[in-house]
Amino acid sequence: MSVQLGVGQALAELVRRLTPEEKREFVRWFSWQELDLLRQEEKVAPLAAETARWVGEPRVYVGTTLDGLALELPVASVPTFVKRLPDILSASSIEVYVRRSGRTAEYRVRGAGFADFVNAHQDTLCEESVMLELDGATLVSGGGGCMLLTLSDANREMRRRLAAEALRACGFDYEFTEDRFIAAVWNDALEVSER
Amino acid sequence: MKKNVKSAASFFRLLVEHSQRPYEPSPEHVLKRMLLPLCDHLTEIVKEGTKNDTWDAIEGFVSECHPLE
Repeated sequence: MSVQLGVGQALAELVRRLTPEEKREFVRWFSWQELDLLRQEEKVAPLAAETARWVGEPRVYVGTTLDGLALELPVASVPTFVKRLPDILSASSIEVYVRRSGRTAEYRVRGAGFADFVNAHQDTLCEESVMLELDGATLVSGGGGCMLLTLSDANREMRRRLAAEALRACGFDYEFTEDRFIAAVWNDALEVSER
Repeated sequence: MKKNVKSAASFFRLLVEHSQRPYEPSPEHVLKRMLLPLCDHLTEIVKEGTKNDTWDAIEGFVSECHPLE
């Protein structure tokens, strides 16, 4: 047990280690309810409002990685964003690799026909395990709007524009100015930190 | 690198990236969006791939480890 535990947590840990007989003896002086309340207060108190905002998962997340972007978008926004990729990345053809129910499907799609392909395979692209190769860029998704976009050196300058497009697909407008940034939507409010 | 190997390494990269986030992704999210696809890819590589594919996959994983060091 860490010496940094609060009194409530330390008592809870102490009681957890007692035998049933010892516990019955213990609660003659200290009720379970009092102990639990004390422990709850210690857990909640350090969570200042600033920290509490980052508990749970944001509705939208767009963050830079070493060589691209990490994205969490609402599923409904995924097709809109993905359709924009060939144009922004100037990709003339897209290779699609899908794993579904233990089976593999591969497609090669021309940039001009990619929007139609996305429309026709929307459910697959939004829910299955997918990898898109767009010339030097690679997008991988485990579905549910969880995506990782890796960019080549040549198209890394597109990162800010791609991030702005991702936010726009979710109904938010923001122009990034720095190379490293995190944008997240908590309670319908967009919060951005750039450096 | 074969597509299944590249995809497997990419899912490992996605998993590593999630560990660097400023919030804690839920266990369900990690399981469904990263671990299950990763397990599926690895199973395919072991069952249907070559020894080279397996080696390439391991090298792909190792190359994604530097953000954790």
